[in-house]
Amino acid sequence: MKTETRAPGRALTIKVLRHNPADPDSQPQWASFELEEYEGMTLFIALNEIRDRFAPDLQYDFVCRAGICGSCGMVVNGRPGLACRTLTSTLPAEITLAPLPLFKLIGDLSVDTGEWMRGMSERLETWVHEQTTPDIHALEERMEPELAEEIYELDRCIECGCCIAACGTARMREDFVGAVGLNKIARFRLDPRDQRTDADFYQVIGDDNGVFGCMSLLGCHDVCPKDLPLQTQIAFIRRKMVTVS
Amino acid sequence: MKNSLLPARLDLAQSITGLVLAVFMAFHLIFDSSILLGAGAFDFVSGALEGKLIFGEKIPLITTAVVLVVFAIFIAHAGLAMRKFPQNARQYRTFRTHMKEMRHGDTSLWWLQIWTGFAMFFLASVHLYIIMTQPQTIGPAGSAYRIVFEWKWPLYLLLTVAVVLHAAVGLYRLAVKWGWFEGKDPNRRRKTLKKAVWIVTAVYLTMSLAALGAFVHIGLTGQDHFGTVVEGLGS
Ligand code: HEM
Ligand code: SF4
Ligand code: SF4
Ligand code: FES
Repeated sequence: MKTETRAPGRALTIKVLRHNPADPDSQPQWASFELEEYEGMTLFIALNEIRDRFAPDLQYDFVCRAGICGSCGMVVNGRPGLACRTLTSTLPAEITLAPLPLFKLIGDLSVDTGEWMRGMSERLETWVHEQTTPDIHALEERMEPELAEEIYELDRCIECGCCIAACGTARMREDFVGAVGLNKIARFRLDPRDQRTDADFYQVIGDDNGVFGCMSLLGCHDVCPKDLPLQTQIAFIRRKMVTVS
Repeated sequence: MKNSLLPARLDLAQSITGLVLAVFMAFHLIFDSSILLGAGAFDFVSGALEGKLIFGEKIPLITTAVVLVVFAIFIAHAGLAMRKFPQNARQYRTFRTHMKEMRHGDTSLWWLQIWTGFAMFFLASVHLYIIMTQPQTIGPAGSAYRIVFEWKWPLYLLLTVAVVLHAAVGLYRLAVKWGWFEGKDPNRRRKTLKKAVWIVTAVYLTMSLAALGAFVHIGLTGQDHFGTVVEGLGS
């Protein structure tokens, strides 16, 4: 049998901002780990290796490892992104990892985006509002495939929280709904089953914590790992909301 | 109703006042730069804008009236945009840290807009007030005198840089904010717009600073850079 030979990879230095808020003695501090890079290494793989070899108590979140569940958002060299989708080869040899700001810190790189997202969803009522109770025995009303596509395009949001962490407005003003919220409004606005009018939507996003708070910095658009068209959607919603009268 | 229509109106007003000011500045700086074509050209342009072609003589009150309107729009815009400033030390620090970490162009440009805007509170107010109250002094000689001997050149230097950067970035932001010129591929279009911002900035800065230089030249030598003697400087 042939033994596999591999050219030695780059020596990576991975610095992780560690802190355990449950421990009153814990202070946030950087922990540094040395790894050898190999082909196809993602930050998910690198973190697993760190946990296996150096720091069994390292906290970070992963579920799908494929950019679908949205649990692995973290700040990579200053920019929010999904760890499972980030190849180390796209980064310099020194990599810093920090938890997403704004969300409740669980420990190390693990944050609770769920609580924030739930608050946002309740505030914006991000569900289909129907006037009539649907008849569960009848066929659902048909939707044009193009429209379904359009809705699906916006529905691809995985609530990873990267757009919030990347938003200067959200960082300064904590009640700002952020791109994730505005995108959801755009999504339900498209949905013919949601019978809310623009005047209704204005009630939830027509203020400076909503669409008028957005200062068009487009950090959200530029980091969204799902490449959602956040710029055009926010601009669209803004146009719709100023014409509500 | 919970949300009033006020936030929508204010946001729109912020953009409209910004747009009007930017368009005004686009023309203002071109007219101002007519000095590059010589003292005669500037005399003609400033005279024409004061109604000489219609009334046969300059009517400085026209300038006063126009400046009054611009001043009002300026104050409205500053008041509206001020809402977006960091409101306290914590917000200020948070944004600074965020900007440094993100290394993200549009985020940093916003910071530039905040600072140039803040600077203009003072710089533009002084300028507007002087022009509004002394419109009769505008002309190749009067303006050069003011710039050199009344020490307006440092003010104008800073104001020119601030206003050109602020207005160019502001127009870019207007485009992305309202979704103008998105075209078929908004991402590509955004890059093009950004490029346009830098070209406009470079062209306007070069032109306006050269014009300022031309005024300084007149003030120091008593003639424009074509050698035409400028009368009336020696007051
Ligand atoms: C005291 C003077 C000024 C201050 C404090 C100021 C401040 C600001 C700020 C903070 C913004 C960003 C608003 C946002 O992020 O939503 C802004 C936007 C803008 N400014 Fe100014 N500005 C001033 C004067 C001017 C002048 C003289 C011009 C034109 C030459 C101008 C043109 C614009 C434009 C076009 C925008 C974009 C409007 C928008 O985003 O809705 N500003 N200004
Ligand atoms: S909009 Fe993009 S960045 Fe924001 S939560 Fe959804 S997927 Fe994540
Ligand atoms: S455009 Fe800027 S201010 Fe608006 S949501 Fe995105 S990052 Fe935040
Ligand atoms: S682990 Fe699911 S998105 Fe990264």
